Amino acid sequence: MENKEITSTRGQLIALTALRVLIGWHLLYEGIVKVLNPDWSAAGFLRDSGWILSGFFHWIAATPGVLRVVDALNACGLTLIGAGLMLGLFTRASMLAGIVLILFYYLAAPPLTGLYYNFPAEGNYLIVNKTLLEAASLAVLLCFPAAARIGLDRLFFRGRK
Amino acid sequence: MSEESKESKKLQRRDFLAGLATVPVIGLFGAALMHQLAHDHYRNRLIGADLTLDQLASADDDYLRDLDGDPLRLGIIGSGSRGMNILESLGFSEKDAGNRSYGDLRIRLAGVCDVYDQAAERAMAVSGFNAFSRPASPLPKARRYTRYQEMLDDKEIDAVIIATPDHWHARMIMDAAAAGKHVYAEKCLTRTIEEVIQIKQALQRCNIVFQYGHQNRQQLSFHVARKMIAQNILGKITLLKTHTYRNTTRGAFNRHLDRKIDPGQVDWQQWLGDTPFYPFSPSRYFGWQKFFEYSGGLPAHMFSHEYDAINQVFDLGIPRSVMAMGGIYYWKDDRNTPDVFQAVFEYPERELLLTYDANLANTSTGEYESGAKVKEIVGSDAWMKLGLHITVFPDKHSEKFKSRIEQGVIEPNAPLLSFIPGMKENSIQAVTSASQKMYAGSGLISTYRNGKEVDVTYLHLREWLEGIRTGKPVSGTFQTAFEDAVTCHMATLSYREKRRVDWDVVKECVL
Repeated sequence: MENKEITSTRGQLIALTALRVLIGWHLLYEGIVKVLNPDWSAAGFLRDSGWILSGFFHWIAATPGVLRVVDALNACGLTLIGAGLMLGLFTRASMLAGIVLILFYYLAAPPLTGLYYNFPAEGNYLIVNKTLLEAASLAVLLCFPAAARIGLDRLFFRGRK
Repeated sequence: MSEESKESKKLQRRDFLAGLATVPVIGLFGAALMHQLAHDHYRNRLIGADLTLDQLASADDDYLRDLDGDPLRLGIIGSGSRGMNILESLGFSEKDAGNRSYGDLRIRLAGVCDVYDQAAERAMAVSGFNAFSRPASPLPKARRYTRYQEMLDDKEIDAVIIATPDHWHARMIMDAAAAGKHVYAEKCLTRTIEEVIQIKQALQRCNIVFQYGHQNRQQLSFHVARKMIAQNILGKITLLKTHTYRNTTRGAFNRHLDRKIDPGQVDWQQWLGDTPFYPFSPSRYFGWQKFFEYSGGLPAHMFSHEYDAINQVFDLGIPRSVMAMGGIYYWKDDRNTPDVFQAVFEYPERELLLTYDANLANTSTGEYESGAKVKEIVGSDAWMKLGLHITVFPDKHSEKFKSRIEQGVIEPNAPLLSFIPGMKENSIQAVTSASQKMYAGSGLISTYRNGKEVDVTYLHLREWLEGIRTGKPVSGTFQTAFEDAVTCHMATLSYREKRRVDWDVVKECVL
């Protein structure tokens, strides 16, 4: 029977793991900052939304109950996803959840021609921005089993292999 | 030990090492996070201690409480667009909207007076239901009066709301006061300074509750700004800058273009009042702000908002002198009031200037921030952007912040403090993280009070109604209206007479 496991070089393993940990670091800090700040809300960002999903995001911003839930999910989600990526715990689930969450940020305010936002960007972007690149990086990691090889999953889910 | 178990042990050790390989990163992250938090805390504590911030914030949920007593019977004089906005803020609607939860004001709309049949019918239609009354039940429909004097003579009316064009305000306020009706009067108080003096004398003879319709008296950010200024956060304040910039047809008061009106439904002669006769004109009827016959133009209509906000914070009163210039440079229509206007108001005793600049063909300055124009308060140590939110920026050459700037605790010209009404605990915070700075700088965070956006017009009307019932002081006192109207009219006078206009405090007249 053909062995389907893809073998990786040490360099690939280190690079993929480092990328995962760095993205985890970023998301974890974004999450913790929000968890620690009781006044934080996504309302301003959502209200500034453009493009086809803007109606949905504006609705969230204008509905206090929904906004509270979205704020809590956002802060906790980022924290858990970040910690998961960094530690390699529930790694693939964290990658998938990270892609979904980050794509929401992208879709809320994509840098498309003709769309303008009050919220200033820290660079110049055309269609592709750092948010999209971060989601794409997670997608790459998701496609390489080696990206999940280093981490706590290896201890906890060893028996299932 | 067999080769197999040796191999298995080796695998286990490798799994163990690979499983824990990234755990030290968490430690590194934790250390960096603690360092960052300690830095933020230190910065917050230093700035907070310097400025005693925690004493400034306050929250008020009183608007949810139902008012007591027999229902007050209100009459509205002038049920055009602003009049209808007021009725909506009072909770009047054609049917139970059921989506607002403010306190019951215990009111009934008993009378409507408007020269335009359709406007009067629209107000009467909404008198049948009040969204805030408990229990919710249909109310009797308001009676129509074709002349406001008939409404004032009616004992079935306790208080009136005056939302007509400015050229009618003075007579209506004085007549209502003489008839013993409490008055809520829209700004601008009058069309001329002489009328302001007349109202002052008339109100001294009457015992009514007067509320000036500057609903932004209820704006929490202005209350907090007042406390911040009192704490000398900005240093010596020498300049207050206010603006009106608009660039739309409606913003330039051409409000007749998208409306149809049947002249047969308007008592035009009554609308004109004591102004010179002019054949019926939709442009004048809907856009009376464009004409000096009916209003004071941009100062009375737009600067009035800016001045009243600033006056709340500084108790400025009437300036010693005013100089203004302007012209009709863009809107070449039938208007006779300027569309570009600048005025300087001098307060020598306070050692500061108030400036106002307006342009109806551009929107570059004084951006809207959640519905309010941003004003700038300029001090020797810092400057404040004051809208619905407050943002304070330190000056890079500030003496007060010099040591903090040198320590790296304060970053010059980056947002230092922000206040966002309605965020939890209405807190005033030192601005720390990069994203907070961006939000604070762009004034983007929504305005909520304890999770709810509260209508300031409702709060202002509620304060008036409570004042009538309990004698509790109102914030839009006649004195504030007096100062507002005189200040605005001095600017108009300066523009029209092309001269510096001075105020005689003792004789209460212009020189």
